[in-house]
Amino acid sequence: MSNITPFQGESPDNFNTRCLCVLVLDTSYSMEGGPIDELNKGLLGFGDFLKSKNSTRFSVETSIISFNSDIECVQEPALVDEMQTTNGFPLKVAGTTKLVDGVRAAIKKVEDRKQWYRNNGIAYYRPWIVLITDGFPDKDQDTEGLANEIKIANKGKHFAFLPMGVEGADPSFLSKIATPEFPPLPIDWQSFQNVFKWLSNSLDKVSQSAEGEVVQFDAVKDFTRTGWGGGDFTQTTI
Amino acid sequence: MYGNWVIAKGSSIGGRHIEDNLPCQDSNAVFFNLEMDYGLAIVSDGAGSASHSDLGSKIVVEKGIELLNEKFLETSFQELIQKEQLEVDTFFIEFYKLLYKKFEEYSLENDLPIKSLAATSIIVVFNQSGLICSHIGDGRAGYQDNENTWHSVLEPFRGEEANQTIFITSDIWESPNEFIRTTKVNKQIQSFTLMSDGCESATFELNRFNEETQLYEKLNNPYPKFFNPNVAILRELVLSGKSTEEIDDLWLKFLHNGNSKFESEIDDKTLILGTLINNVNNA
Repeated sequence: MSNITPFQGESPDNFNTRCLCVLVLDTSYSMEGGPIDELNKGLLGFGDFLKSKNSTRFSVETSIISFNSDIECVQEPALVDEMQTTNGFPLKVAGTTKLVDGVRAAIKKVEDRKQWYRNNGIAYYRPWIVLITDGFPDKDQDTEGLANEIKIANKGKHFAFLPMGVEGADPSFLSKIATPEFPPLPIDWQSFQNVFKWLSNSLDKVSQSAEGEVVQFDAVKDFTRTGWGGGDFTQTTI
Repeated sequence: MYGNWVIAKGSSIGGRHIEDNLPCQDSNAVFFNLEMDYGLAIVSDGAGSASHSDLGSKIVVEKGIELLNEKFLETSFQELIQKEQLEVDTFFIEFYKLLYKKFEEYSLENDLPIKSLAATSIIVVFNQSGLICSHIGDGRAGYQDNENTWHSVLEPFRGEEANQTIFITSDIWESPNEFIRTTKVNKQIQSFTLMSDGCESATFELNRFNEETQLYEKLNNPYPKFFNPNVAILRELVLSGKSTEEIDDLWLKFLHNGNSKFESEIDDKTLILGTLINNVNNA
C-alpha cells in the first residue's frame, strides 16, 4: 500500500515545554586544580550535549550558581543557544563553603523562574536542582533548616533535588538533605564530562516524558565512585 | 460518510511507545445517528502512568458511544442544545457517572485496579446546527463556523507542571463540576476537530511572543493553516469516491509522519476532523 497521503497543512511555531536545571556548584578553595579544571571542561561539554538534540536544545534551560564564601549566579536561566559568555567563566576557586546559601539561592531561582513561566504562559516540567560539592558546609550554615526546606519542597513536588558528592564531600550531610528519589551520588571529579553527559541524557528523557511516566535513567557506573546504579524519576501526577 | 459529514479519524502510536514495545494508549470513535440527526465523536488518551490505560481509553470510546446513544433517546440533541448551560452540564455529569460505573464493572470483572485504567475523555456531539463538547482532562477541540472562522471549544485541564492532568478514574466525583467541563455552541457549524494532546503542538497555536509587550502569551487557537487545507482535501476525497476506510487509512499515514511535528512526536496521536460536504462557504 502506498505511503503517500494527500493530507497536508502547516503547523504553528509553538514554544517547547521548558525543563529548568539549576546547577549549584562548589567553587571553594578545596576544588583547586584538577577538580575545577575538569568541572569547567564538563560545563562546556554539557552545552554541546544540550545542543546535540532538538529536544534538549529547545527545552532545557540551564542556570548556574556557584558558591564559596560568596554566592554568585553566573548564568541566569536560558536555553543553551541563549546562554551568554560572562566574566563568571571559567569558574575560579576561592574561599570557603557556603553550601546552604548556594542551594537556597537555587531554590529561589527555581521559584522565580516558575513564576515567570506562569506569567508568560509557558508550560514546564518539574525543575531540577543539581548540587555538586567536595566539602563540608561552613559551620555557620543552617544545614538542619535546609534539610527541612528540601523535605517540604519535595513533598510538594516543587523541584527534584540531586546531590552529588566529589571525594571529600560529607556523605552524612548529603544524605540528610537528599530525598528518597535521589540518594546522594558519589562522583569522580575525573569523570565530570560523563556526569554532564548523563545529566543531559536524563534531562532529555524528562523533557520527552508523558504524564506520570516513570523515567528510567541510564546507569551511572562510568562516573560514580561507588555503588549507585541509576534511578527512577516519576513525573508528578495528580 | 456520516450523514452529510465526512470525517477522518485515527490514532497513531507515539515514538516512545514503539521504543518501549507498549500499545497505543489512545482510542477514538465516531458514530452518526441519521434518524435523529446527531453525531458523536470521542477521543480518549490513556495515562502514561497507568498500566492498563489502553484498555481504559477503549472503555471510554466504546461505552461512551453506547451510553450517550441511550441518553439521547431520553433527551434529543436538538432539545439538549436549547437548554440552559446548567442542564447541559448536569446531562454530561450524569453520563460520566454512568461511564465511571462501567469502569468499576470492568475493574471488578478483570481484577484490575480502577486507577490502572486511567484515561481522559473528549466528547463532541454535533450536527449542522451546533455542537456540545464535554471533557475530562487534557487535549484540544474546536470548530469552524459558517464565516470560516475557527474557535476552540475546550480548555485543557492542566496541573502546575506540563503533562499533569486528570482522568475519569481520578478522585473527581465529590465536585464533578470542577472537572467535567461542557461547552455548547448553539449556532451553525461547518467543521469540527478533537484530539489528544499528542496532536496539539502540530495543530493549535499554543503560545507566541508578543513583540510589543515583550511577553509570551498563552493561546488556545485552532491553526487555520493546518485545518483549512485538510478540510478541503477531505471534501475532495469524498467527492472522488473514497470510502470512510480509505480516508481513515490516508489520515493515519498523515498522523504517523505527514509533517515534521507529527513525525517527531513521541506521544500517541489521535485526531478527528469532520466537515459538512454540502457546505460551499469554505474557501
